[in-house]
Amino acid sequence: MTEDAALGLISRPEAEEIAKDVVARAQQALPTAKVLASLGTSSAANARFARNEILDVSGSEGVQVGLALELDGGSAFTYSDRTDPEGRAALVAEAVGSVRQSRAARPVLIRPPRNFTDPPLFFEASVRAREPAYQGDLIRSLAEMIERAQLTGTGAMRVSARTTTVFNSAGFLGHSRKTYGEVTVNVRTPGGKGSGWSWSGGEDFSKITAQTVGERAVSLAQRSADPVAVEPGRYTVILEPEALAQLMDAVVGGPTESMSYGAAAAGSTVFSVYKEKKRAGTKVGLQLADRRVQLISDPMDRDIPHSPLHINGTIMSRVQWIENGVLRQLSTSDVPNPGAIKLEITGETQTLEEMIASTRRGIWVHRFSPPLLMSPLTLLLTGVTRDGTFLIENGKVTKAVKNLRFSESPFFVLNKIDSFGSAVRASEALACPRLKVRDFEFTALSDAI
Amino acid sequence: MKMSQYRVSRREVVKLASSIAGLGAAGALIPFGRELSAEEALESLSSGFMAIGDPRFSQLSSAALEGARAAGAQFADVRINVQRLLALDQSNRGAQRTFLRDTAELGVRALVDGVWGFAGTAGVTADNARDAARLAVARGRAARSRRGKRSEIAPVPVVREGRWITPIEIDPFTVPIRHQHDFMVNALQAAVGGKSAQAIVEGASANLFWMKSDRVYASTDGSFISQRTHSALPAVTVRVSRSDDETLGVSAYPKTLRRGGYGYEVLTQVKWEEALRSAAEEALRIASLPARSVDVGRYDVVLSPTMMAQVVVDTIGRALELDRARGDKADTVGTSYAMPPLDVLGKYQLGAPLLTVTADRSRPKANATVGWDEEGVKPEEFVLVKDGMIIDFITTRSTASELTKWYDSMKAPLRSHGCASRSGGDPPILQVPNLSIQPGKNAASTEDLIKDVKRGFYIEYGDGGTDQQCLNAQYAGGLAYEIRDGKRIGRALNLAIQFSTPQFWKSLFALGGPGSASLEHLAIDRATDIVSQAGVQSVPARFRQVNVINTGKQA
Repeated sequence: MTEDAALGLISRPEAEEIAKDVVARAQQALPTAKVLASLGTSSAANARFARNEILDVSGSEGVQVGLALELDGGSAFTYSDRTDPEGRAALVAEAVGSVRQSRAARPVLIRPPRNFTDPPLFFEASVRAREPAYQGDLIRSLAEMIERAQLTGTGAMRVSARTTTVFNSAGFLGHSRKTYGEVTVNVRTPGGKGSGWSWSGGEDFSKITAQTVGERAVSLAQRSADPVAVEPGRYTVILEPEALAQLMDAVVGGPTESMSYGAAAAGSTVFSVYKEKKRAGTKVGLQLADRRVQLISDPMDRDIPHSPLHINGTIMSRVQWIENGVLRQLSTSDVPNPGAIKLEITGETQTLEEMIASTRRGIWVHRFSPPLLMSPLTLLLTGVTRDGTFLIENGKVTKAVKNLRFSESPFFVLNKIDSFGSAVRASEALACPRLKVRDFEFTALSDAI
Repeated sequence: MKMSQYRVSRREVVKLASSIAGLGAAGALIPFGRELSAEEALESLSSGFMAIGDPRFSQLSSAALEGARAAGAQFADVRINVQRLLALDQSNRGAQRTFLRDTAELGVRALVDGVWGFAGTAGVTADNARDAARLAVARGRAARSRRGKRSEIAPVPVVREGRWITPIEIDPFTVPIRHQHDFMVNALQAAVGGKSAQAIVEGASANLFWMKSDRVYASTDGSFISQRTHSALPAVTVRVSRSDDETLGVSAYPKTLRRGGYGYEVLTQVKWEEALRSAAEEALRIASLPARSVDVGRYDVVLSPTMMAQVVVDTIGRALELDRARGDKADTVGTSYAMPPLDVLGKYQLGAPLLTVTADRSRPKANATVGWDEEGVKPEEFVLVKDGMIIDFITTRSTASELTKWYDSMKAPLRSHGCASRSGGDPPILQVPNLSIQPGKNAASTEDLIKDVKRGFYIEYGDGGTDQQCLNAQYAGGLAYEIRDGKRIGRALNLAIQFSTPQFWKSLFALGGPGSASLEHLAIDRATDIVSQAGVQSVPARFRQVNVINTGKQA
């Protein structure tokens, strides 16, 4: 049994062989078609606990073989999860039949052969962190620590390993693999009034210290036990990187169709321009944010690396989506959004202590409820603070405050920057700095914990 | 692109379908990418895909359950799901996308000394089934409690041979892709060309989405349940834009297009010329209305059945998910105002006495409708909120025992309500089932509710949600109207409503009558990206003095 098989992962040679075989079969049936085969595998293992007790240890394996065909002005995308020869034959039969009938206009991109190098994305420590005994022990230790502090903990560890393999009718062959893991913990005080949350995540599980995550959540819970109400209104706000990432998610994700050029040109996103109430293209070239703002994706980034290999066969390189606050690039099939983006502010950084010390009156926010889109064209979002919200008065954190509902757009926030830290990994898909912002608007008090 | 003149007659489609359906396997999974003649259809029934009734389901589930027992599980269940998904997009300009996906997954859940382990696999072979069983048990052992706490699993009658199939007329997987593309591209032409003085029809599009799942649930108790569910989620949109202001585009939807537990007949039943012309006219009319940015304040608000359905799912359905309410999701989506559960039942007055919400998984055509849930439980209708009071939660076998004291006090049996969902390679999860809002007693229509409002708003559709405790919500109106003296006088722009959940439901003033009810379909788990749909039997409603805010801020 190969090492990969023992780990429950498909080996590179086997994955490449499957992808090549699928293309060969398709070409036999349709010699003139454009053919792109992809093979994605995933192996996830998770352990959850709630109220200081393990809930379950679970996990799933997934496989997806995809075949994209284009023939005589019609294209079809067909998928299955069977990699055995009979399954591949069935997939090809369906795909061939589908493309023969399809008049669908979406083209299949066929890239010429090209080499690329993955940054370090696949870590042994993460593979081992999928073992049931390891997961059970980690979760039990966390729960024990929280119970000793006489608090109530809920959380999880999730680790996954993924492979992507692409082969096409021009002979392009690409393979990539990565691991990713996270520990998230919420802690509550006995009365339920205090709640704290923390997390840690990344490709290399050895860099995650679950106990530290637990301790941070415990500390936040204890400090937020007796919140007082403050008036809604505009405040100086310090956003933890995770909270800023929740806002930035709307910029790089669903609401903008992953920063799609097409959606912007069609007039439906914050990146669309309207001149005298008529659609007038996209905001590429326009100043959208403070001149110090950079939005970058870079396979080699040390905080948020990604494979250059895109599932459509494109080899991605560094992209500067926003440069000095100016929108430079939106995503297309030639320049896809890799789903791993860093927000960086250029200039002299401040530590948390420096930011707090220089705040006369402000609010320190750790996290929000999932932000909801209120206005697609301005990207106005709303949500409620949670898991650690504090008042800063005259340079000191003085009290925990009751949660507040906000009404802000990431593009308003990025134009009201007071000071900032260095970018750190803030979620699976984003690296963000801690950000101190002027005039951040809270519109209502919330009694939600 | 040259427009196809091909029209599919219903007779042709039915003929094709019945040539296959009549062969006993009731629409077995067949490779249908090829255009099939009746003879080919006959031949291809013996293809590698598995349809319920295939002996492999039984062989695989035995391998899994025996494997789990042998490894030391006291109880185990297995789910095997063979699913087909077809998504086709068209616009009036031609076909846009062809997407077909087949998956076959198996998942084993094992209870080992009172704790749960799960392993899911893609690749439905006996070896994989045994490996998954062993891994599920290893995970169950690893999950042992620090204090020896044991998970309880609510009892369920054994179902030795359960079988259920969503009743449909035409299996969409027997209608060739070319027919489906041509049919809709042709149909969409009826929307094109319309215009008014101020507005013009930009185009029309169709997104067809068909899902078919052949699956089996089996347990070491001896249950063996085979089900086939069909889900049709077509979306057809007519888009209109204003000549003088392209930010004021309007989308309208044909009213006679259904969604839910249907087959291809959901498309062939619609008189498309009429439906699309009507939708185009409606969109043109709306786009031509005066449109004004709202003045903030407290107003009476009338919600359409569509909007009501969304608010009910978000603020009541999710809040009454028992796993959420007992704190299992505090680190992710959050908790609930309805906690702790035992302190809430029979005591928490959520809304006005007018409000009664029931839950089921049996309403015909509603998407959460099944024969049995993913734990082998036959769901029965149950009441969540009665006369404004919370009296039950959404439960599964592994959560129901949390409410033992309550059920004892009500002299009701301890049982799961059958709300376990998601099949195959992922663990079953608790999900909001179909919901139903009891209509008002009077025969009030949406227009009747609007007529009684002196100054307020009507929201036809919109989007938003709640905070981490389902306690406060905000919804932006996608299409909203200003009401003055009982009449819709124009579009309300930049409108959002903001409320505290119990205050909102207590301000419920009037509900549409039985005649105003409609079955709405919603995705109900957006936060975790699990797309599932439940039906909500909904009515329009009027609320007093709701906080209306303006979302037009620019800085």
